[in-house]
Amino acid sequence: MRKELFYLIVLLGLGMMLAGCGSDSTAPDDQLPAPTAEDVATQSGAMASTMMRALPRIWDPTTTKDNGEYTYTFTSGPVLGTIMSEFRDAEGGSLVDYDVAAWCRIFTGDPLAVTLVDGGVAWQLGFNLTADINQGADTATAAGGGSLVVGDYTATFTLAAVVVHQGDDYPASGTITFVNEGITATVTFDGDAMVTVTVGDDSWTIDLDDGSIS
Amino acid sequence: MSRPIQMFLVVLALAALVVPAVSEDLEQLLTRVGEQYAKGYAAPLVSAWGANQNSALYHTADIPHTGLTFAVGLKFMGTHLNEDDQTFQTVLQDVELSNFLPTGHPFYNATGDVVMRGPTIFGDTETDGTMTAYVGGLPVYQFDAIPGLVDTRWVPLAAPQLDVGGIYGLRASLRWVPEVDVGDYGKTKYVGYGLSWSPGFLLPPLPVDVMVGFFTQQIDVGTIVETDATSFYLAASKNLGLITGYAGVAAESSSLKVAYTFEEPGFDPVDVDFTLDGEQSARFTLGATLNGPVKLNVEMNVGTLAVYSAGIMFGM
Repeated sequence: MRKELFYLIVLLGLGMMLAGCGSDSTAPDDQLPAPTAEDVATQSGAMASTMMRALPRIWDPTTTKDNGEYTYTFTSGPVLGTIMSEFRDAEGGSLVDYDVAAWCRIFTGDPLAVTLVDGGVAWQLGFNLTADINQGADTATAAGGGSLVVGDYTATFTLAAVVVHQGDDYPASGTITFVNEGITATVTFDGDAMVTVTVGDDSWTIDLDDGSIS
Repeated sequence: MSRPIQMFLVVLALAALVVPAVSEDLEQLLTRVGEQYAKGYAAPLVSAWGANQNSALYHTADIPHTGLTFAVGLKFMGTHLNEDDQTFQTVLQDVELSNFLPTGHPFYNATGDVVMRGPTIFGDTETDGTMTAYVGGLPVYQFDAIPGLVDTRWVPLAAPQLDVGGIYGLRASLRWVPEVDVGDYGKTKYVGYGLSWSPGFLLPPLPVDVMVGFFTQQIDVGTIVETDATSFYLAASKNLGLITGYAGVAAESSSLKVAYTFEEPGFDPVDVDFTLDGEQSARFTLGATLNGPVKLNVEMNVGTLAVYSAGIMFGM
């Protein structure tokens, strides 16, 4: 009897191997809706508005300081969270105070929470930028990139030659390229609160103060 | 009382105890989500449960022309789910958001997209799913939904079965679990019946026994879930003495009816009532039975889902 039972179990095992392909999936797995060009432009507006708040920390980095390493915390408004920065006398050089630095890195640990839509969901924005600083001219030229999680989407962005003057509220020049679901938006700074974002042949104006587009 | 009958009663008692507990937990979870979320969440349940119900229906195609036969026993089935069935993502586009947002939300009267994602009923029990509403591609509301009920890829089912046959090649089968009152959640019961016919006595001698049949079953889990499963099958078997090998094909269907009231703070209560159909519509069965005073059988079933089953039957 035990022998026959053994054979039955072996047969079932062989069957399981034969059926090794297993089960097909039966749960729904719908694709996310493709964002429109305007959706991506709007998302890039939120990102640009946040970066406009972060970049001046090159000139005013302090909430706390520890030997050339600083943290700055946004405690109210549409952007919440902490950014960190480190200042050096040159890229790869020694840590120095921000007001004598020639190079800095400004970055997030935990992403910033950005809430620009009334009643909406906080978006998660993280970045890692570097900047060459010209203390004599009071300018910094930033580059780098980051990501923006918008609900179920994750977009990436890249800064190129974004120039920030000390004391100015808005970047003087440079671009940010923002990509979500294969759609690319390009934000061009011009020193003003109202900047242009283009997606293909379409363009909108971003109000950097609130991130809205029109 | 003989040992087999004792074992039979123990399994019946376990089934009567376990199903109501699952019913209570499932109701508590489902009342926190709306219809569309519940459909995605429960999708693997209907397919797996239906596939289980439609398994282990027979263990031989040899039904005597004359001479009454009687057998009682237990059937065990297990569906092995695809790993992807532990999560789901449902997307609704251009829908009225009033059905998904709390009353008074700034976008309550808007039209937009809704993305629901998270563990299914058989997914991670520690992680909540989410429901996110979008307007113009921007998330305007996100709601933490519910975790999985049981984190597993194996969905089991056990059923007692009674076979009576031997008249003109006919055999009637009955599956039944006693009705159990689950208090506020209603009654839980399992009942099914089927009929098989072996026309061997009408045909010239064949190298194998052949049989056709059907089986229909219903499981009610409290007041919230009702499942139906039906199978029409064609099977053949060969008695090799101690072992009978058998194989079959079947066309089948299954459905799950769910009814509950969605009640979440900030939302208007909504009565939810929907029916889901199981994905599996056909299968191939291969099995073997160990003949003797006690018949033991094992089988595998391959269709949209892979189902493994075994049975123990006492009697002739």
